[in-house]
Amino acid sequence: MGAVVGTLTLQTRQRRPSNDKFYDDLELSVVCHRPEGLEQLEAQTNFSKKELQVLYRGFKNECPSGVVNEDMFKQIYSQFFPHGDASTYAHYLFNSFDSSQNGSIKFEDFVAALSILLRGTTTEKLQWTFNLYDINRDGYINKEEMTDIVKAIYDMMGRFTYPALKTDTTKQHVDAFFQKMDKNRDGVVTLDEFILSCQEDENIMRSLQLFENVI
Amino acid sequence: MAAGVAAWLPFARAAAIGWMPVANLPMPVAPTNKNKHQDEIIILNVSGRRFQTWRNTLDRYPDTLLGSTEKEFFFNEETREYFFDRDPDLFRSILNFYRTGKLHYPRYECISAYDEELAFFGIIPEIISDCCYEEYKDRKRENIERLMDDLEDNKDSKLPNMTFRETMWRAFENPHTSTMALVFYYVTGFFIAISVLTNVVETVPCSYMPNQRDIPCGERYTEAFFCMDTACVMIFTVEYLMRLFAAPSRYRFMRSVMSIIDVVAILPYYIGLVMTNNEDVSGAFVTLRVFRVFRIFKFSRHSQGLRILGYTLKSCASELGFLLFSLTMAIIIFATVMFYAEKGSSSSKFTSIPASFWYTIVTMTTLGYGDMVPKTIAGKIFGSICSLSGVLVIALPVPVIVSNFSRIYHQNQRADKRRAQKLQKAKLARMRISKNGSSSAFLHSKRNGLNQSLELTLPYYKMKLSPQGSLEEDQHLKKTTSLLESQHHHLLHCLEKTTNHEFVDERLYEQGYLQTALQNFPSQSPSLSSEEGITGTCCSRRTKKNIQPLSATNTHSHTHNLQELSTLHIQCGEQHPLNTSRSSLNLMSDESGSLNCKSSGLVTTAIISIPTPPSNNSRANPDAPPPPNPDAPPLPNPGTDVVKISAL
Repeated sequence: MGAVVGTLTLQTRQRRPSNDKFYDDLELSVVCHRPEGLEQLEAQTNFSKKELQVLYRGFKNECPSGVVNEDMFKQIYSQFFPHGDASTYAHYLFNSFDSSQNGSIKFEDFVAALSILLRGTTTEKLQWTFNLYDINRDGYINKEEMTDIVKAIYDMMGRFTYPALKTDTTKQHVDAFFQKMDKNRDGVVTLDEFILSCQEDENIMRSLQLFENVI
Repeated sequence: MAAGVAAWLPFARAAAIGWMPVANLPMPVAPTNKNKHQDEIIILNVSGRRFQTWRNTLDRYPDTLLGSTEKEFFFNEETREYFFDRDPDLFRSILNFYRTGKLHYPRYECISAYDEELAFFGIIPEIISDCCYEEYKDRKRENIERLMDDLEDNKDSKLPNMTFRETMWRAFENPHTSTMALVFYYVTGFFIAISVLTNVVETVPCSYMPNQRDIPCGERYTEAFFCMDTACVMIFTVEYLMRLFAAPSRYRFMRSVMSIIDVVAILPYYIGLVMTNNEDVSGAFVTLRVFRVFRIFKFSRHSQGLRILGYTLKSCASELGFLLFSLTMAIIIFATVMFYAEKGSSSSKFTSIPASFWYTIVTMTTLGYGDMVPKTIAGKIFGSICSLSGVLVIALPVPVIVSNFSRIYHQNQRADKRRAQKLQKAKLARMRISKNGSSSAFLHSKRNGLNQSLELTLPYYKMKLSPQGSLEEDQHLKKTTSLLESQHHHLLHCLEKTTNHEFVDERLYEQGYLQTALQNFPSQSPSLSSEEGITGTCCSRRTKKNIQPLSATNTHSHTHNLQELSTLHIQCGEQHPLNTSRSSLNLMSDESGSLNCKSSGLVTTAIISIPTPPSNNSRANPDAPPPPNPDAPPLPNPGTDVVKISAL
């Protein structure tokens, strides 16, 4: 019986080194980032100093370390859509915000994107949207990418919708989109086709101006 | 929605631009910030200590004192600051709640003072964050228990209108309440002791005569012992009957452990009276006399420690069971080994494995009587292993039992398990509430028609419909939703327009699901005509083109249509409150609905929803591309417009 007890204690001792590794990783991941000066940001973006101050205060409140990583981003974004699952769309958003593609958004990236979205010209806004849809950044939107995006948007609605979501809802929506946007019927949408088609549709033009007074 | 992420709402709204090219419908108007002024710092003077914060910080929680207009009552015109005559130390944690979104409970503060402050500033304690919530609940429970203890101390005082029965029961349960009870308590204790003593002395041998064999005293002084026994049993019987009479719930009393002990203690005497000195049954009778020793358990009414011991043993049943099981296992193993080891030696006492059990038990518990000893070398080796392992096996579960005993001694420990479960449940409930709160807030505001005012294009008939008594409601509702909420709802509304689907709660989802199930069945021509008949007569305000072909059924015909859908059965009664009184179609369906309800128990009904005001898309952009879901009816305002047309 003593031998049994002895072998059991040996086993537990071997498990301990893995716990230490966890703590090592934790220490390295806490990174702090400070943005560039206020004047530089004011020059780079279309915001005034006061607006930048308000934006930074809100940003720093939620992310004291100065950077947002993808999980935090998904969590924050999901709080606005309690009905459904906003994580897929948040993932695509994160990739479009993260200009340096290093897995974290700094305040400069945040403000640059907001500057386009809130204070940019329509062409800039449409360009940003095109980049959002073009998941693999190859310059073309094909049906699969569009299906992914539309599915992500429908995921945010959740289960309880009226009318109830059917299996081909997404496909119909994507088909309608391609019908409108793909002028030369080659199966992909380029940036020029996209901008042209959107400028023809006054609904879209009007809704792009919707969020002018957000700040 | 946690107001801590309120700062990110502008970002979420800006990101909604990504939906615009995908959307086919126009977006609703954004709510405007009417009093758009620069964010200013306001000064809160709490008993002389000045706190300063942004006005926006306080506006995050509009249903508290500081976030609403209630703070204007405390505004001091001369000094241009808000003055509160409260504790500044406690105000710190309250202001931090606005800043960080988390409410913390400082451990050194008194719980009732903290509760008062929270109540004054309009903050509910349930939003205390997880790090401090347990501590808060613990302190609160202690406080409540203290208050209840104070109450109980007063309970022992005699209430004026107690019946004789209740007085007796109180006397039995709490002996220190009156002298009579105390006397009774001591008398019964004395007699229990006497009875036990008698039983013991009965078996002591008293010599009759010097050179005769010893006989026990019980047989020598039979009458004396018999009298003593009778007296004790008399007292016990009287006591039992009195307790039985005084008990508030006799059935429960008779099932309790103490009363069973009482009965078992006095029963052997009566059985002995009944039975004669018959040789056949005297063996059994002797066995019965053993039960007289149970009288000693009657002492547990007199001793608190004995009761706790009994309770411990009961609650440690699993540990005791484990002890027993492991011992049994070890005994069997070692007995087998010893038997086969000693098989070879002659005149060995280890005649069989069960016979070796006795040796194993005696050795493992380190008793070592020495009546059975191994003689072979193998037997001695295994015997020593047996005694060493015995120490271990017995030593392992015993500390668990001991710790259980000390745990039970602490009164708080018993409530610990209950408290832990409640905490977990409360935490889950809080998370669910906060999640449901934000999602239901949107649905609630939709139902109240708030979003109507946010439509991009307001059709003519809508303007006509709105003044029907809902104007005051609208104003009232506009007051209670803050700018933040209206912006959030606008965002969700944009999402609805992008996907051309609406958020509904579960109940309406079920109805909508059934409706689409109905539409999948091809509508036959008679049903179309009847549907148009309905719409023609009653829906005069609607434009026909908006009603897309539904397989609506008339009340009296088309049974065969719905027999295929016989699996759907919905209660009639609950839908009635939804029907508004505005359209005559509703009235008609009310009558038909009630008619059908009375006629059959299991009603096969169909729920068709025909919107009272048609949605925007048909009027607003006639040239818009067809909605991606041509089978869906135009978007109604759910909740108020579900019309039931029922059929058998």
